[in-house]
Amino acid sequence: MSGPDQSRKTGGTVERLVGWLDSRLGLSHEVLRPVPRYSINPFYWLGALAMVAFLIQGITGSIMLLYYVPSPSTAYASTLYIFQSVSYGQFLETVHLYTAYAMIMLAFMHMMRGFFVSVHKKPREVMWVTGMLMGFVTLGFGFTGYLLPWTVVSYSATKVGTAMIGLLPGPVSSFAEFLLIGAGGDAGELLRFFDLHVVVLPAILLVLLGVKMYILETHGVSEPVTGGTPDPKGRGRTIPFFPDVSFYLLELAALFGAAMLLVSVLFPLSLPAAYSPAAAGQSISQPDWYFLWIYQIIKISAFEQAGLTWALSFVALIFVVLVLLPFIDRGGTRRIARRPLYITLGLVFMAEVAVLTAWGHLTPGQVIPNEQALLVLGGTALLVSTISWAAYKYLPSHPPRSVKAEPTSLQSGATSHGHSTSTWTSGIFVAVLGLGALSIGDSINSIVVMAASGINAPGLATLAFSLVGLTLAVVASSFLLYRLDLGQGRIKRHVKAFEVGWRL
Amino acid sequence: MTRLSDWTTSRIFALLILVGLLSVVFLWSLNPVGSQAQTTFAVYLSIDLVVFAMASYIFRVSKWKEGVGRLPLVAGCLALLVLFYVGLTA
Repeated sequence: MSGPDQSRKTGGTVERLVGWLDSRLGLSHEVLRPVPRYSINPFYWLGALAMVAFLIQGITGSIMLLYYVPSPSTAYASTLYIFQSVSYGQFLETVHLYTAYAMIMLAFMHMMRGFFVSVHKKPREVMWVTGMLMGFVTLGFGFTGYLLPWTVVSYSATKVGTAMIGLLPGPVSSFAEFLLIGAGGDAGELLRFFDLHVVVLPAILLVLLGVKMYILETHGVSEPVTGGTPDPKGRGRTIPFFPDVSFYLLELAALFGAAMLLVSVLFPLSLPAAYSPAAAGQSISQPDWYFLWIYQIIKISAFEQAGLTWALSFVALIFVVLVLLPFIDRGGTRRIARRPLYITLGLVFMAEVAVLTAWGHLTPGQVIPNEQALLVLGGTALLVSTISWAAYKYLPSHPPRSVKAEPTSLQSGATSHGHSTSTWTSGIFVAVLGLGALSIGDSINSIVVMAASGINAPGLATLAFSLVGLTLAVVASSFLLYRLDLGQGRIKRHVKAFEVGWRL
Repeated sequence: MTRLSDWTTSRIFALLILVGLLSVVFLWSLNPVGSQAQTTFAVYLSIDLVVFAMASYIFRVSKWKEGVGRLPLVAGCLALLVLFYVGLTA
């Protein structure tokens, strides 16, 4: 048989199968609206991937439910039983934990991408608020699930969290105590956490997902930010949800699942010691990584004792601002070049969260002196703001002429290549910003530590390492700024003008 | 990106289905107790997922008449080779 004939036969078999499914289930009859061609890009589907992670957690969690018993005397023993005696038990627990981490990370990336491309603006304000609520529910999953194995680490960390509830304003505190602590005592608390984790939070998340999907179906996928107005080309070619987009999503889900499986194999979970009052007295209370940035703020010495309420109020204010963002950032333009203040604030927020998380990991249980906090957090904000200011001053405010035209298909050679190069350069630029922020934080931290406890070899090594990182970040930033500027050449003109002035 | 001919694509598609089936058969033959089996299970399940993603990519892109790219398939095949090596040596 000739090649093309066989190809038609292979394609025909799969297409016949898809057609059979469609005729029985009516999947192509506008169940979900067609999506624009430009949305076939993983960055548009970060939220969908977070839901894939939720689905994997649902499957692995349901299997673990067959063995887990939620009481203080049996919680750890049943978790250990799953680990040691159930087929693939350790693997199940590891996958459950890592997909939870991935879900939180994907939700955060989804939120930040939405912020940078202004999906919170009219008419998608309610969708943004719904998404933020889903983010809080995701964090709630992490908080409630962390206690369930009843290990010394999880118990101590959760106690820190629940102790903070008493510092919240009166009615909020009473409601949170009723919700999380119940009748009181360890047994009541564990049962409440278990119920919230396996029944209440999944139900709330599914309802919110339904609301978000409804709004998404009403307004469609947001247009790419190509100028002051939505891209007119974006309304052109659309792709049916079934089978085309469904298959694309399945591809992403399969690759995500494979990555999760491999990470679980490479870094298998080991169960910490069981909780006992004696063991708890010896361990340092530290929340899981996604709450570390909040915990690090609380550890600053200015926020000790009575100041703790202020710290919690500050963190609550950040969350309130994030939820109400569509009603604060109400400017008409979605274009990144016209939103310097909000984009810089977003970059500073991301850098501070990264620095606080890494810092919290390096300084478990240590109180952070005020001066050190001011230097590290202020230095990070200053560095990121300066780089952002330089980018706004020197980068072209319009896309270069060569990339202005939207490619009509994947094969549109040079224009597609120019656009993808620009996207990749911008992505690397953000990563370099993160490296720079971490380096400056680490170098200031090591200087302060050495000033307090004397110069030593590890301190010098850390300082040297972070200075090398900072130098690399500065060099890479300059190179990337120059590369992004190639289309318009504003930096080149400035350099030329400087050279002329120097010669004169 | 370089595009592959329909003839090459259809053969790769058939080969992927075969690799996927072999991997599934191997998965069912595993003894599920012990950490060694967990590693092998995860690696071969990953192979199945990568195979599915590649086959779905070929089907989708062929349907859009955009031509199947060489780069994603070469990357996928390399990933499969590495995974098979890890699976056999684990």
